[in-house]
Amino acid sequence: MTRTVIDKVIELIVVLFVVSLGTFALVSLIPGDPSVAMLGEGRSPEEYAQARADMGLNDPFFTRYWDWLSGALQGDLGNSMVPPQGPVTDSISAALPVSIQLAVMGLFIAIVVAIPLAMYSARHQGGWIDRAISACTFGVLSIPSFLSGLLLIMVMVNYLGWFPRSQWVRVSEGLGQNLYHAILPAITISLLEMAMFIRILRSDLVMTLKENFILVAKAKGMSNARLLFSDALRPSSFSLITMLGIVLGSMIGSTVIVETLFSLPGMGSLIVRAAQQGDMPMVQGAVLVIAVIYVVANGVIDISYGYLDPRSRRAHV
Amino acid sequence: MSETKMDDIDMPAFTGRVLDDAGAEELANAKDLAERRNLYRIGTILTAVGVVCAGLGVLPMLVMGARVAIFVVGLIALYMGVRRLGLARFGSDFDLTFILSCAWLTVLILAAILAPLLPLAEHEDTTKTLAAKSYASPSLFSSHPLGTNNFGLDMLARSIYGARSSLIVAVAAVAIGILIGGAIGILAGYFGGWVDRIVGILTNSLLAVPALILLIALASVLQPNLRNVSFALAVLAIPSMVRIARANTLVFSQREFVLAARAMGATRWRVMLREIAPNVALPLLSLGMVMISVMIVAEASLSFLGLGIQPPSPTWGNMISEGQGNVFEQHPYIVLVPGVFLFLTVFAFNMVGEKAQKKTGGTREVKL
Amino acid sequence: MSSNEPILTVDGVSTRFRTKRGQLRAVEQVSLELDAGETLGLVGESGSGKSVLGQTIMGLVSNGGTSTVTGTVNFMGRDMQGLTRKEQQQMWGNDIAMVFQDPMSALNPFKRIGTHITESLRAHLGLDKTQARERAIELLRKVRIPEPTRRIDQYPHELSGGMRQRVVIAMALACDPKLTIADEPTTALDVTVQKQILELLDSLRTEMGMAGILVSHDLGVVAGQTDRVAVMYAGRIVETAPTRQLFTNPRHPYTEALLAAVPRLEQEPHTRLESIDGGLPDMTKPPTGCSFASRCKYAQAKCREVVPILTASRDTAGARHPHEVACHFPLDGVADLGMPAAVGTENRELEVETI
Repeated sequence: MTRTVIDKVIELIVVLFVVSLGTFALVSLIPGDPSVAMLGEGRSPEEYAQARADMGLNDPFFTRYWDWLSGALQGDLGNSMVPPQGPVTDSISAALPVSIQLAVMGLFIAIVVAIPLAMYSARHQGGWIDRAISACTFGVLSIPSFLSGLLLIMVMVNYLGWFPRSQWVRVSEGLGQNLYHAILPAITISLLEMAMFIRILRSDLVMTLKENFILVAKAKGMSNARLLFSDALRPSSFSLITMLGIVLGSMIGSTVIVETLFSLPGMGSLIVRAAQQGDMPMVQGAVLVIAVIYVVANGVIDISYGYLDPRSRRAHV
Repeated sequence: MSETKMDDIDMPAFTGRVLDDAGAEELANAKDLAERRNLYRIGTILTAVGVVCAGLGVLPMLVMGARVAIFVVGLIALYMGVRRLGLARFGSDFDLTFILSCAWLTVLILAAILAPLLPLAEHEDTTKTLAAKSYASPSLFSSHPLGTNNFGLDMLARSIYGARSSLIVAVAAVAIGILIGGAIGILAGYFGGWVDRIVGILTNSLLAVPALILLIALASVLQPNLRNVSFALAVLAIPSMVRIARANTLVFSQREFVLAARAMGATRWRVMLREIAPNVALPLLSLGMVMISVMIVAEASLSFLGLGIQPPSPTWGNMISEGQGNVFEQHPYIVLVPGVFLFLTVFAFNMVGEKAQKKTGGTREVKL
Repeated sequence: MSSNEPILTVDGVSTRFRTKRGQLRAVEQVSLELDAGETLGLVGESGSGKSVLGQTIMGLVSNGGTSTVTGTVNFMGRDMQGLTRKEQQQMWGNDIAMVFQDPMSALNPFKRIGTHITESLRAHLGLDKTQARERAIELLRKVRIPEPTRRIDQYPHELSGGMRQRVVIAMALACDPKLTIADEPTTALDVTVQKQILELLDSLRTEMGMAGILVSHDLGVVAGQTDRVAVMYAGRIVETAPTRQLFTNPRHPYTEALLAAVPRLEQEPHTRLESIDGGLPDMTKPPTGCSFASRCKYAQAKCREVVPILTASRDTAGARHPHEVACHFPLDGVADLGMPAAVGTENRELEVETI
């Protein structure tokens, strides 16, 4: 068991290396001379040469890469190229908590709504509610997050006036206000995940309910409710955990879009703005941080899978 | 979505395993004559109701809200009616949603291909619309059936040209993904060893970055045009294709016909091209079908963020982003028109993709 | 309920399933009775309908949805087919229990062994946690699982197949049911374990005074463990008799053929085993007349036209459980089991028990 954990961790690290290399190499794809991009046109050749030297562009590729990486590991991701040219790390550490809060809230809402709906659907397979839920989830999966976000804003903010349009209130400034501003974006994020969870969980429950041990339990005189909760839910929840890994990626995407839509100061807005402005250090730093989080999260999910399944926990004959 | 079987409302009382090999399978729907006649009757009634209501909704007689409500009710009734008629006529395999999806896609693709030949109003050159009315409301029988945006560009034309961009990008990305990803996957699967290892690490690294983030990163260095957007989306598609191609190659290279070809002296390249590639093509194409809708959404998201195709060149994503801020409140159709196009197209592709997957039994990859 | 009344009465039960190919007749017009403490063996090949009959008796298969059940099943005075869901919950596991075929899949891999047993104890008998646990340990001991206090907290994958089947039996017997239906309880197990499980079931049944129905395709399994046997073919009972009588004096050609197909130690090496040509008829389009006619070596014209009814043979007519046969031309006298020389009846019984 520990052998596989170590293997997975090693693989993780290798992948992260490659990602960091790729991110760093991204800059090389930019057409044109970076020094011109930075200083503008019409300067003297010496100034451009100086700027290039300052940016370390005269050093060989791997030296630059190593400088950047070692800096990153120590928490220094360089400075932003866009005024105010503050440290990238500062901007990221200010933006990260916002995104994480949104993502966690979205995930929570998705799970809390998905489980009862999926269980009801599995219990009443083929009934009209089951089919309605199935149709709705299929529909929701066909709506991109920015569209659903805009529609939600239209209804909730403009029409009903229940929620504020944008702005972010830090937790430190008041939890209530913070939640009030966060809830609509979080709901928007949760929609796609919710739909995916419901479909997967329902199909898994339906399959589990066909298992022999469910029939045996029923023949033992266990009630339908008991069969659903006590016997079927546990085995089926594994598909949820597997889904978490897949859903995480789409959730990060949704978070980016929702932050832009609602003008929230999270990692999403940060990276979009940086990309629009061509602020490479910021883009690189943000991509690296997000990739690390994503890879580590997936790794944790992978490993915990092994622990949660009693069949793999203790290998016996 | 497509489950139309009527299982027991209570949980199933038996599993196939415990029965004696009875061979019992699913229920035969609507076989009895009485049920058929019933379906015909109800179907006709509902269809009639549907047509009437939808018609009422279209005519500019009542208040906007009531019109919309009656129209929607009419559509629902029409759908339910036609579905029952179809079930009665063609049996339980009749899937109205699938048929409608195919119809929509056909119309859309045709419109997109024929766009320059169609009598459409101006869609992107703002110099030509200086005299046109901006923010015209949609009215079905005018020269701007779906309205205009703030530059006076016609929404219907923009939607159709937007379809062109989206479809070209999506199909190109998937095609490139299949070709390059498939090739890499076959090589990795066939040669194994360190080739496979390296491909594996590279694939995992690409997958280690969440989809939209990857797109944004690429968009930050590349000029936003049609070609680059396709390229970026192709990069997104490649890892999944590599995986499928590799997995299938591993399966097929063990089969006898490959061994037979080698025994007859075929070179490895020939084997890969003539024996393995055709067999791997089917699952790849099947995945490609499913991926098209993902690509469309990805391109739309990118354009929405301003990092994809730039206005005034229309694509559904950037059309929707025009509606941000107060515009949406005052002129909802700016968002709703491209939104509906986008939704219907993605829905239709999902529907078709799911059917294709069922037929070929491929694996699913859910992304973005 | 007087002790002379049968505990279970099955009267004219037919079970049909709606399938894509038409109505599948799994069980056709079956009637039987079972006294308290009696064990009935239900024998037949795969597809003969014996498992479906067992489930119909229990009520697991009932009218509604894809299945149609006609006739009555009367257990302890209750109509098993007419139970509400709540009544089913009360009776199943409590008064009537089923032991299923595959121990590998019968247990929930995410539940401990103990929980499997204690949940029915607590649900049916209202025991509290400690009492239920004690009783569960006792039950595990009864089914001869070593170290019950350790095993009770283990997960199913930590037990061998034989032990799992013992747990399944323990689960079934937990609340002292009056009737246990065991559907191929040993088919998935090794031969050596099979014997142990069967003996266990038998001794438990005698000890607890339970009635039992033992469903199997294996004659050997049924031979030593039952008081009576009913042979099923294509959904019908074709012969039923007290076990000894059936084995020494089979009257239906199918039963004779079944017995002839079992290898015996006494036979010369390389004696040809008689297999029965052909297979079960398509139960969505059952043939007219006797279903066995196409494979029967004694078949005559009448057999293909008229369905034979289960009738008692004259010499056992008055007995409580007469020897009944559904055949137009039942076999008379002692069967030819392919054995050399005439052996006494007692010897034959002995052989029967060591199959």
